Amino acid sequence: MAFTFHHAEPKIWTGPYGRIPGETTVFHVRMHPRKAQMWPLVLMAKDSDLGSCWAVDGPEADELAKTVLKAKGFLGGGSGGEFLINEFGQVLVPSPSGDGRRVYAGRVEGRLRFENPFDPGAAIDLSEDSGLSCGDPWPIPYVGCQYNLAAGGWVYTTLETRDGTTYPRLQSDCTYLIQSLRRIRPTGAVRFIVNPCGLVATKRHDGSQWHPVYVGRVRVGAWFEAEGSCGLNVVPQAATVISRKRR
Amino acid sequence: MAIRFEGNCTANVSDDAKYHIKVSKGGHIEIPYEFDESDQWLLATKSHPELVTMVNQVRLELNENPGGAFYINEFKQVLVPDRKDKIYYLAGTYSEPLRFTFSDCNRDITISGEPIDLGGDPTPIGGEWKGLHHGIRYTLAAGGNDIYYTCFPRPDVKRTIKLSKEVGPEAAAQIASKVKAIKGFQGGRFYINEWREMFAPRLEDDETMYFYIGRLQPDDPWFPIHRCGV
Repeated sequence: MAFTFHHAEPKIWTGPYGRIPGETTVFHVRMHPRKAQMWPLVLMAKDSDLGSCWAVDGPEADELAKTVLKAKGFLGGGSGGEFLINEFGQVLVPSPSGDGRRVYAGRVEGRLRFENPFDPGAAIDLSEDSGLSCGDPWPIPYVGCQYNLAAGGWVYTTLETRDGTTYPRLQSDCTYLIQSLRRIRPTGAVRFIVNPCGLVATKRHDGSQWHPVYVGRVRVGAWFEAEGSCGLNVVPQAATVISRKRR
Repeated sequence: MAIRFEGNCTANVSDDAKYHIKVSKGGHIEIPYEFDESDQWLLATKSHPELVTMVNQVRLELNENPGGAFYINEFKQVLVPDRKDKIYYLAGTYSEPLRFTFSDCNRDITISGEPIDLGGDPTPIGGEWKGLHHGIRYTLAAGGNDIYYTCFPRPDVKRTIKLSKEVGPEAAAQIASKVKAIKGFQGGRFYINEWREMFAPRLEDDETMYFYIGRLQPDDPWFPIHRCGV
């Protein structure tokens, strides 16, 4: 399922925006040193290294970068910056001034692929989880939207509105997801991410540091509804660990 | 063949933070000096032909024109960035001190990387740094308990080298406390020059001023010298 990008005119976004602080949890548009043009990338931390994973070359990545820049301009900014892509593929661009405004700038579909700076010539596929089991080290960039598992056992998101912040709960049955999260973090509240291809990851403490680990995938029909009429950007795999276990 | 240097390659942007060789002027070593907001002096010396030859040899091996920017780090290693990709090369070690002396009316003024003001008096720790601004950049981590620098071991990969990993958290915090006295808990960049003198910029009333941190002593916990190819 190839990567496609459907750009949209910038439109103010009032839906969930699960941004985790830090530069490695979001996408960026920056000057590509070899292309000499603005280009999408995501940052991946690995031990003491921080890798710049540039989007794999192609017209769709070019269009995505241009659209994000246009959205930044719409919000009063200019030269690059960060943006989010949620699990529905919706491209959400925050105001560079930090005033809390965000715009919807389009939608991606399919596999998002980035160059792997730690393995030149190889690509990182944000939909690729074949061979991963719940609790395995997360091998790709920890980028995605934040969700939470409350200590009381429900999943919620955070929604900032003019009237204040609300915490809508997931109404669908997501026992599968809660069980997976609890295998990694048996008690307490858990923050986790859902990446643009519906993969779920969280962090586990090893005694001195937090390390990202794979949890599973969100399922169509058992997740939040999108703002606007679109479905999850879930790329089918030949066989995932979760589906094998279900069989 | 030029030897690639993969230690702390500071990549300072400001012209007064690095030495320059001006071939058009007969191989001078130059460095700008900000005397005050409106007055910048261009200091020059012809007293180091061996150093000029070392830098130009790297340029030759890189098929670049002679001259240009270079640095000397706290281990007296001479570092030459190439002009295209800003990859750093080791030109060798140079121990002769670089001082820039000139006459101003009736007196001689010497400016260098030493903690000495324009009147020839020593700068106290915490006092305004009146020496040259050239040096190798390090960063005091937020919180003020560690020091790090970043380098680029390969394209698109930035590596953070922490002093605490080299010498242990307690020893790192010991030397970091000297920097914290100037930079505060928020941390930020500071510089060390070939004299092993440390100084740091700080914003004072919307103006960036530099302050003297102190000298890095031989037994102070610090990063090891980077030996190319080791």
